[in-house]
Amino acid sequence: MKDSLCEEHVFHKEYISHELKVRNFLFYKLGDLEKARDFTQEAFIRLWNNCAKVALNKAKGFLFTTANRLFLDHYDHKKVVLKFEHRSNRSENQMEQNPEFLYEEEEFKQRLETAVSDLPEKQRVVFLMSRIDKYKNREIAEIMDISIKTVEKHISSAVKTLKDNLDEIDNLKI
Amino acid sequence: MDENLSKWLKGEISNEELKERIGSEEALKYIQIVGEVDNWVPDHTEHLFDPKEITSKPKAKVTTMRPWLSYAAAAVILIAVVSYLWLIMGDSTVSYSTVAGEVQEVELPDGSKATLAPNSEISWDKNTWKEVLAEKASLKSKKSAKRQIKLKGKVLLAVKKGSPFSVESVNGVVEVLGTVFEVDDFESGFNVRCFEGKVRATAVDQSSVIVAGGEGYLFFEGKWEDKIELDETSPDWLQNQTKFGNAPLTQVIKTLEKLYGITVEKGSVNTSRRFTGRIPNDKLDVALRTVFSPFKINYAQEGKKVILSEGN
Repeated sequence: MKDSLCEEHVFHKEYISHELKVRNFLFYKLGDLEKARDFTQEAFIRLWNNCAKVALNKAKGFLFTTANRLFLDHYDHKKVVLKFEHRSNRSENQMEQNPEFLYEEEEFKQRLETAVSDLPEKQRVVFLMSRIDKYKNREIAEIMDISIKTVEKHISSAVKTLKDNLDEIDNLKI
Repeated sequence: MDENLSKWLKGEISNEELKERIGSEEALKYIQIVGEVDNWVPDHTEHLFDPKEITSKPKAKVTTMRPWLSYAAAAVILIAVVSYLWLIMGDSTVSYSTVAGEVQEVELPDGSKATLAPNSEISWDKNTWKEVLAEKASLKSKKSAKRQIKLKGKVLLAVKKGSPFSVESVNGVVEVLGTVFEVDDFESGFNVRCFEGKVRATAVDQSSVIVAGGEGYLFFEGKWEDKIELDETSPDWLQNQTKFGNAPLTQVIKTLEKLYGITVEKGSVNTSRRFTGRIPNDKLDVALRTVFSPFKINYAQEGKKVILSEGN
């Protein structure tokens, strides 16, 4: 093994490339940024403590598996409420091109946040990993240990549920 | 329609194509939803913490950790240190020992756990265990390789499923047929207490007993005594006290010596009498009084030495 995780610079590089994605994964599951951060830190501590036993190309898998284990061990059945911020490099006219749901921009965001929070856990996590973290379906399949077909199914079901949910609110409004 | 949505989500067809295939109104809704989510982030943090906090001092507790997290980290570090020690030992015999008053948890190569009582020692042969692990990996059911450890003193074991597991001591061998058990080996015999599962204990004279969960057996001066029903679910020495039920004084004295790092001169005192009771693991004067006054045995303490004599 040439590049060992026990070497600090290698570990730091792994940290930089995965920290936010592991944190986000936990956030989608928990709906709690602070807890997600704590669990992420713990996952990296465990990776460091096991650096001699984990091959470099298995580090990502180890981190997500550990994160998931921490989540399962401390799952408290609370309803997830997700809030997001807009990326800073977002183009201004994006919303105006797609005025299909006729809400004020902020209202649309809030309704969509609620609808996303209400998605079944697997659909929610897979959908957000795909759209926010820009993971490829193949990568998500590996991380979640499910087939690529299932990943695709989760994503399109999520999008359909979101649309139906917003349609319903739209109809009630009229 | 599912097909089209799926293709569009994968980027295989464009927004325009989606509109053509499922209708402009529906397509625009999907485009608006996904376009919005694509622009979300949980927050604008760039780094969660400094990884140097972890790499520069691996054993330190990180300040933001919740208490249970630090326990988990401590456990992981302990295991890591133990495995590391195991790796760097050149000799094929691996051994761990504890001093007076110390309790140590040791992970065996197969993941089984041994908890050493004060002043005890376990050892095993690395090469034999390698065969065990190799056999396990190849899924052969021959079970020719045996997991063996040698014991001086007292140990609690939580054994993982697998090939035969045995503990050898001067007075006999205890083989595991189940899970959590304790072996206490002393001069004139040994005591086996099984907390979970089943073990078979074979004395030097080849006589054996099967000890089931919640049972204890004492082999003393050449013979097995009647079964003892345990009312505890884990060893008392893990709770900072030691309990004896009809135990020979030799066993109790040996335990005192190990717990407190003392030597006891027995003189002409009859040590085959039996003691029942609990002694603290951290108060020598209380322990000595508890054990010896009921027998009217006088004891004098001189530094690390305790001298016994028959009272009147």
